[in-house]
Amino acid sequence: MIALSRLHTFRAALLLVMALLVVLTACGAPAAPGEGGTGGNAQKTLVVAVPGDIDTFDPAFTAGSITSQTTIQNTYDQLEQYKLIEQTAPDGYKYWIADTGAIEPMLAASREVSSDGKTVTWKLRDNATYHDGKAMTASDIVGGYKRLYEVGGSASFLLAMGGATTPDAFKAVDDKTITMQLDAANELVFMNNVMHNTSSISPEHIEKVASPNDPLGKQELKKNLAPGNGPFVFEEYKPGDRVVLSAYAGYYAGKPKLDRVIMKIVPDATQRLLLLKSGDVDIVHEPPVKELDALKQDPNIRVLSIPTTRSVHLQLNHEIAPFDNQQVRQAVAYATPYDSIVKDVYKNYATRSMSLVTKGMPGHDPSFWTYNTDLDKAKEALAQAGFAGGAGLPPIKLSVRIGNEEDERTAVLVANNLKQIGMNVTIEKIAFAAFNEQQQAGKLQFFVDNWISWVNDPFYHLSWLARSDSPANYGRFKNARVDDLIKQYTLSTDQDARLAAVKEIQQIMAEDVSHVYLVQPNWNVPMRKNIQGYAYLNDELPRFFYMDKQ
Amino acid sequence: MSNFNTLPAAALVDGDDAAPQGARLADAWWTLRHNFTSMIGLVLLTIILLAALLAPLIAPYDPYELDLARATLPPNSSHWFGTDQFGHDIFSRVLYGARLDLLIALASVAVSAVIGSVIGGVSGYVGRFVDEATMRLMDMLQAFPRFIFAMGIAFALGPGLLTVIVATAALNIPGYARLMRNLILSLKQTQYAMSAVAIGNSGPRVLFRHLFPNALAPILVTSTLQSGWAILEAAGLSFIGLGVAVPTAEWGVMIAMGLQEFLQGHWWVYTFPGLAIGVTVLAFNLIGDGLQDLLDPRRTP
Amino acid sequence: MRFLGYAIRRLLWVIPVLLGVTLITFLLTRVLPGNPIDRVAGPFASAEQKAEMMREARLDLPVIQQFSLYVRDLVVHGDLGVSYSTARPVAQDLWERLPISLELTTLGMLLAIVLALPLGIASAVAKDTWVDQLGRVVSVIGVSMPIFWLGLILLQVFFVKLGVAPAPLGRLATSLIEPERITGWLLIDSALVGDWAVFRSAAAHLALPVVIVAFTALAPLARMTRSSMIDALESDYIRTARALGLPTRVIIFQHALKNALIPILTMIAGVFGYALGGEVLVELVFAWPGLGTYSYNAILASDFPAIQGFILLITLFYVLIYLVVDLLIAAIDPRVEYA
Repeated sequence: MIALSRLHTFRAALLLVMALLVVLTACGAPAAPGEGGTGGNAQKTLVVAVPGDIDTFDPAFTAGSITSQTTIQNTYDQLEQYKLIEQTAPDGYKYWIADTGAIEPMLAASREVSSDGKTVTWKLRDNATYHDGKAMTASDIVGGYKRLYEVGGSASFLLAMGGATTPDAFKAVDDKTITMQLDAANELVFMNNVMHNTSSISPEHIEKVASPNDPLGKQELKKNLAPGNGPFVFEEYKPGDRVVLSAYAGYYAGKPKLDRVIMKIVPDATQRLLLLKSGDVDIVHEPPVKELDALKQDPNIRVLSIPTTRSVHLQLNHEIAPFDNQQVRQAVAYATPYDSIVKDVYKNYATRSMSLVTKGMPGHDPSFWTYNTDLDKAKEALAQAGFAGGAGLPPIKLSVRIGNEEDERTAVLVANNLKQIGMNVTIEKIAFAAFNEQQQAGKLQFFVDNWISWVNDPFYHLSWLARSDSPANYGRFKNARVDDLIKQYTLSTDQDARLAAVKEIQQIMAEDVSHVYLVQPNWNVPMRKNIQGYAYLNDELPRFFYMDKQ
Repeated sequence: MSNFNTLPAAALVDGDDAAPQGARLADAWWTLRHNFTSMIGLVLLTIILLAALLAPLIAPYDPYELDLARATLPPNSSHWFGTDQFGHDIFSRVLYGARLDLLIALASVAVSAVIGSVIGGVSGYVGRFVDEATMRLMDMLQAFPRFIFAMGIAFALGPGLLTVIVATAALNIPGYARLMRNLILSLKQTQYAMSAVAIGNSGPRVLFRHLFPNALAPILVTSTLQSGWAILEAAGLSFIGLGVAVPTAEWGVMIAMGLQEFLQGHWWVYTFPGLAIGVTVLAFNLIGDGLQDLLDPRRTP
Repeated sequence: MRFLGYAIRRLLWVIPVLLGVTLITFLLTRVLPGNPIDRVAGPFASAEQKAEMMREARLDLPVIQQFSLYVRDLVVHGDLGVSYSTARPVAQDLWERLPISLELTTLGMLLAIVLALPLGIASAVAKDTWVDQLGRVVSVIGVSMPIFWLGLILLQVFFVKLGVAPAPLGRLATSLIEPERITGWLLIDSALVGDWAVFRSAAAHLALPVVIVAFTALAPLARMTRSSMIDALESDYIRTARALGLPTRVIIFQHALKNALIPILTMIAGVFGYALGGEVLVELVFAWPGLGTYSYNAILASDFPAIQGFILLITLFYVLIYLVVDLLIAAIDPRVEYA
């Protein structure tokens, strides 16, 4: 009796379990390939896996999110743009890169500069319209620029750097003519004027969304994209999931080749690659470098690897012991395993960096950085600093951002070499918000950092990284001569004197061991083989207009 | 995370109807010896403890010896568990990891047991308004999502070993407070306690000299279970980067390092440290599970 | 009447708990390092702009004042503030993600209950036999494994090696489009509109995480079932029933189980609340876009409003589950005193 009833219990339980498992596993069959695809019509949809979500739709405030920046870059045009030149990769793939020495018209049809170099006149092209059909006039563009100043967007900062210090610098002379008045003649202002930050929103739209509390429409424009004037129209945004753009049929330079672009938000790098392999996405940004060789084995995938001017370096805080001592910094420079970082961390998808003014920037000079991995010299330098064998060193923390695998590996290799000269270093992983705060406050002692300047100009670059009063000088390098040179030559039009000054600065920084320069990583873009026409610019934002899918 | 693991123990001693008697340590030993699975747990734990203590003697390699020439080797005769992406020997790291993870578990449990017991003991002994207020505060703390609470604390304190200990300890204080309070409430009513007061002992003296020692066994039983969960939670924190950092030989960190190797099929990098966690927690849980009967007032051992 | 009084008192108690939890969260988030404004503002922002943003976010006020304004907005407008990182109302973010996590947790719990009840009952009936020991070991193993690791192992086997599980990339194949939200549960919504491709894909993506949630929820449920069944089986009236010669099946399922149900119910409620709040690691491993992932990102970004909103929601959920269970017990069990 008991046995029988137990049997019943088990049978009932077993049935239930099996039923549930059947439900789960019956559905557990993998999705058939191509299932739910675009469905056979000739629509060309490009799916891009991006790491981050949108944080704003206001071009004035895109600081944190690359996805926001990409959305704005592809839905808005600027007055001018870099000239793109076609390149051919070793495997025959054709792609575009920017010629950062040449700037071409975009929304403007022409530019004229007065003989004193201080008055710039642009004539707008006739056929440009906003996505809501409204024709574009000079006062639209000027109104957009004025708002950038009024809200204090990043563009106003950059334009002021180039001598257009107030909103009144911009004037609409007639329907199609814009002038910009500069304090001093210079070339930098044009380079600072080609990025998505200077996208200008029509004042009519601003008026429409403004409210008494919010006359500049800051709240509304943060949440909703204003009608753009670029090659793509913003279609849909699902937070945490996707941003969808569609081709703008009325684009003055012709309808883009792609019909739709879906930016799929996938924070995890490994997961982005899985999606690429399965064919669910066409192109991936910021892949983990160590996976690239294996990806190349996949017959459907191409890995485009483009050299960049990005600098990855160790920051040694000049205001925190023991790195306030030049000889300690020297010891680190000798102890760092440069080749191993290029080979084992970046798998040769990077080259060694020899200056903060990286290769590819005007004025780059690798000859001053004479440090190679040499543990004996490192020990010697440490001893001369008064810390022979590491005795007497304060505790040292080497900080990296959570989620950055290459930085983490670099830190492990650096710490391992430092241990061999007697410097015991603890690695500390910090979440980005906390990392940024501590970095900006100058509280990080020793950390792996990187920087790429969107403007390929050494003085723009050094204004950020080497001026003692720059908010981005996180290692607190300070040198009066360097400060003077940067101030003197940033807006100079004397090219030879500028290049000479860049050399002198690089020499001073190398001698002082301002940073420990590690690598210039490539910009790696794994993509399905049917994707064509990738375009790389220093802002690292893709230009979907140039791309196609076969 | 297996956050709800506290529930079996808590549920048995929770509520005012369950008023466990102070059990003695001898009872605990008796229970253990007569419970087959608990004995298995005890044997496992002994082996793990030995491995941790003797790690420098057993480990074939320095757990921090970095050698990129032998990175991500699958298990073989010289590296039984293979190597990770830095060429660290995983077997050696698993052994050394036992030291760190057991240390975290013991420290975390000790901290929470002491603080929680004092809070609960005082609350239960003083009673009335103090008791009510304390217990309601504990209610609130227990209403927090456990792992999120730990993440918040870990993030606030910054990464590191101490952080992990504090974060995991903080989670368990309310549980101990509640347990100790209920124990004290029931012990207070015993002849023994009443006579201690009657012969003129002061309140704190009765509490600390007479009542606490009698509550020791249930606290120890709970601590056994808590140790297992502390290891799980600590590993979870390290796994998401809020705990101990790379390249520390800690099991959670090692699994996180293995995650980076997942796509390349280097399964051994995360499998062995995970097994080590599983076996250790299992050992604690088997012992604790057997001992739980002690907490149940309705059953005599 | 006494029940009504109890219910009202019990209901009122929810308010101070939620207030307390909110206050503690408030204090905790204010200790978090990382000024969220710095990140939102970016390196170009001037000091005045940052100050203005601080003002907008009320971060310039004393914490207690921030707290009272927060509570006022919450009570008066149901407003949880705006997330710093997504720039959207936190209430909206949570509302969109809640069903995503609930679907996973609920299915996991259902599977766990279906497995745990027979296991627990069998262990109780066959107390101290090998069946009991086996049940004990199985359920203890369930709570001993780190679930993020278990996730990796299952993925290694079913995704990498066997290729039967989909990639751990959220709830649905990217090529598919989610149906309009009705309940927010993909299985239900897709079934309602008859989109079976979505249904299949959603179920496939759910399978592994559901098994993991179930595996860890199994142990406490099975153990509780066992111990309350043992209590019930050893109670006087069951002994009487046995003596009267009632069939064992009737005794177990009609009498003992009914009496053991209350602690089991309480346990289910507790485990459910914990599972929902503790799902972060499962969600992270499977890129599940639910509340766990949201809270993780919020903590890393020092996104105060998002963290507060999330904790408040989970706590509310947790407290309400317990409330319902307590009231249920009070209603059906005459032995409960309404103290």
